Amino acid sequence: MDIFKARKVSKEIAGVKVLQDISLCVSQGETIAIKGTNGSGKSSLIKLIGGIYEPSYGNIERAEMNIGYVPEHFPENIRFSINDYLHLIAKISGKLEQKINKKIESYVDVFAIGEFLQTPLRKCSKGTKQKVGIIQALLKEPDLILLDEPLTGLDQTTQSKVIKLLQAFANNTTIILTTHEQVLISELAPRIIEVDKGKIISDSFVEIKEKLNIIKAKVPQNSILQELTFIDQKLIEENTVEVKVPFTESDKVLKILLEQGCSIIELKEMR
Amino acid sequence: MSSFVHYQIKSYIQSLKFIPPASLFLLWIFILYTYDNAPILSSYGASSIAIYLTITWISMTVFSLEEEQEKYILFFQLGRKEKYLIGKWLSIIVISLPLHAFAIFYPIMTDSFKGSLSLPLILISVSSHVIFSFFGILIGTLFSATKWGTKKYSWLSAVLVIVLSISAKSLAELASIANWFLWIFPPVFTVIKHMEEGDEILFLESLFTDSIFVLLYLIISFALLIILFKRKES
Ligand SMILES: Nc1ncnc2c1ncn2[C@@H]1O[C@H](COP(=O)(O)OP(=O)(O)OP(=O)(O)O)[C@@H](O)[C@H]1O
Ligand SMILES: [Mg+2]
Repeated sequence: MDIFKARKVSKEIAGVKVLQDISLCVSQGETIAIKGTNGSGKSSLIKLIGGIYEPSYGNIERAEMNIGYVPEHFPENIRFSINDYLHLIAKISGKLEQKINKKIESYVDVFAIGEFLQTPLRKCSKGTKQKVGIIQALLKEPDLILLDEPLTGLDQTTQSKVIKLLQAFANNTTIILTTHEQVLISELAPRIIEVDKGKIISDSFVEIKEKLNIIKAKVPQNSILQELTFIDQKLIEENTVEVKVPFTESDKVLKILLEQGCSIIELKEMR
Repeated sequence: MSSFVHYQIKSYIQSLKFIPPASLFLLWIFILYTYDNAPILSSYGASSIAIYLTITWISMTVFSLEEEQEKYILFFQLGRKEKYLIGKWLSIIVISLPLHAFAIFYPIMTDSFKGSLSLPLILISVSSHVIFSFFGILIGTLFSATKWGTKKYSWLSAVLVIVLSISAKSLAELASIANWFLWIFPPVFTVIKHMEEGDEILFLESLFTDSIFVLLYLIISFALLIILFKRKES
């Protein structure tokens, strides 16, 4: 089912064409990354999809849906404490008191912001605000999550937590995000839309490559390992074999190699 | 919706933006009843005008509570943009309740009136305060939540419209051509003329038709505001 459809849409703001000739179709359950240089129109496209912007020209169809939105910059001037803010926001979206408490608690744990719960948001660090920006969007259990550069300002561990969370949501939620970060794209989004000067210049699907490990091992005889015929392997020099195994199979293969009396020379991730 | 109103009022109180308009309003009422033996209707008429200005001011500050990104988050949390506008209006109404109460009860408690109050007098006075607070919300919304509000001079324009609407009658007497555009302003005189006479004259024939006129004016202008708001937020 299509949840968003745009046909030849342009958007003009104060005489500036921020989006031009956008034709786009988004199906339910897709995960899409929008990339492009600064000022190319990524945020504007997100706003068009979510309905903050309506087209100046062209037409769109938007399904009725529950949307979570993570803005590019979390508002600077909110006086509420994180705790108050999240509770108020969750109630505005129509969530019940008892259900909210548990969810907020779990997100607070995941993002490790427990110690700032009573701190007014305007006094929180940029990263903390960004985390709250993400939590408020996920709390409402949306059908569609729009995230405008969700990873900026977050440290490495938090970035991977966000990616994990989004991966979990991706199973039954449509996710559209803008990003400059390659990780987000490679870990998450099979469909990549590139914008430039307000236009979509490419829209393509990439296969998410399975992570592979390369194992180099010395083998006892100069032979192909019988038990590993199902795996991509080759002799690179006498008595040395190189096998490529999926990340998740590495343990098993290593065990077999060791059982066969091989010694492991090298184990590395394939780039 | 009630949680959004809660959010708004909490945020408004914490911002302290209510202090200037509210204190000016209180001061106005204190001064209005400095002397005892005040005529009932015209005093309430004067406090209605005070409400008009104060609520315009309050509306403009309520609409300027959030920056863009916070507003967008609220749009999505509420689900529809109209809900945001209507929630703002409800919040302004809730915020204005204590002001109404003060304007009505202060003179009664301080025994400032000449003559005694009757139910019809109270009804007329309460309605006039309510109507003027709606006029205030109208002007305040127009100059802070539509494209008219994004211009540099929105505050000035709001004051200008208020002044013109209050002085519409005199302007029309000065130059009848003024009638051609003054009808667009809130019909201040239509309400206030019922409060200028002595306290005994009440049910003029025109009271009924004037009420209908004001009601229609309000309904149409609030409907227009929703359209203008949606046009701005698109
Ligand atoms: N409200 C506005 N008024 C006028 N111009 C605007 C407005 N919003 C965006 N633009 C213009 O539209 C273009 C695209 O802006 P947009 O914010 O969508 O870019 P972006 O790809 O998100 O950039 P960044 O990577 O810096 O976030 C820019 O040239 C910007 O100046
Ligand atoms: Mg952007």
